[in-house]
Amino acid sequence: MKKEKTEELNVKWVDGLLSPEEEAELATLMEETPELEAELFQSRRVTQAVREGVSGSVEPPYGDFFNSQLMRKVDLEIASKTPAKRAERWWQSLRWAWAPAGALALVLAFFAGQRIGKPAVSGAGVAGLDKSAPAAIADLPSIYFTSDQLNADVISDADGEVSAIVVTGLDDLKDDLDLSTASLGSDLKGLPVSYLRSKARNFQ
Amino acid sequence: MNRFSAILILIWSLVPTLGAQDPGMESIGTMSVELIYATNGEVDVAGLTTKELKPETIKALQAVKELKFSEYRLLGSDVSNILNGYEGWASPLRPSKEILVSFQPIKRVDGNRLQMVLEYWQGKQKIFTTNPTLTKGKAFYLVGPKWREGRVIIAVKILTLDK
Repeated sequence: MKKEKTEELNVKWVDGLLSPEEEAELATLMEETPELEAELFQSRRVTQAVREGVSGSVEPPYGDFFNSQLMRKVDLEIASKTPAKRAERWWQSLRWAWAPAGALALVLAFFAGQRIGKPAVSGAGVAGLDKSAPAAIADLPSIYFTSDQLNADVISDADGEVSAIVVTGLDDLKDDLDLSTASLGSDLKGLPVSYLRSKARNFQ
Repeated sequence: MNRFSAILILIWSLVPTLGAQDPGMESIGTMSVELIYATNGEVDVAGLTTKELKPETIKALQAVKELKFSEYRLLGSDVSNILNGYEGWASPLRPSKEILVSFQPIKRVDGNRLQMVLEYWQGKQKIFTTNPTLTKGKAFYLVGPKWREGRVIIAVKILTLDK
């Protein structure tokens, strides 16, 4: 039951449809399962890749088939990560031994006159940037709105590159909102969970 | 090989993982997000603390018909790191969170271009998501809501991009 609920939250997060309560619920799940966040970003990446194959202005035909293929890709992506996760869990089971092992290794390194440097970091991690992605790109960006009342015009410049998106249907900002002094909205209450997590990550 | 040697080798193999960093947190560049007020009316209504835009910025804006206004003012700006595997956030109205832009790289197109997911948040609600390809040094404009007889424009630009 909990797994079904988690999956539902995951799908809604990828589609940007979480309510504030559900965002809080997902944040709790992320705390319980540290690898969940990486999986979610991976799902969003796959979703993005699939959506690029479908015009942003046209409703995909055979919606159920589209969704099933999308979920299949997500499952494949997750499955491809499974061996690494198993290995990770195996190492995690040895976590109790890391502190004394690290101390002993430092002593050994001292005697060996060897510096322990920063390990090489791969450019593409679990949630890393796909540097091997094909160079071909969609000329027009897709736009996904959270409201049916919104629309957009995509503007290209003289070079043929997309230079602007003009969004129509947005609620006007209240005139008494003083944007120049930014006097409103500085409290953290109600901010997106992903924003708060991002800020927390930067402090770590 | 005795048991002590085996344990030493095991310990040695674990050492590099102790200092491992999350590759997703690696910064691959920087991004600026500017909030611009554009109007054909009186620009002073935007407030007294706004700043003038650089002439080249005004020229770039006026080169696009839909962005052509008689007056512009800079309401705020923010510069953030582009992380390899996580989304970054810019709050050009700092400390206000009234308008936020989140961004995350999808794929590197070439040395100067990066396709990204951009999300525009207004009033703590996500309004839309898009996935443009941004070119380093070239602003990408999101023409947002109306405000005080004018329009709010968000200018997103990759300032630096690691090779």
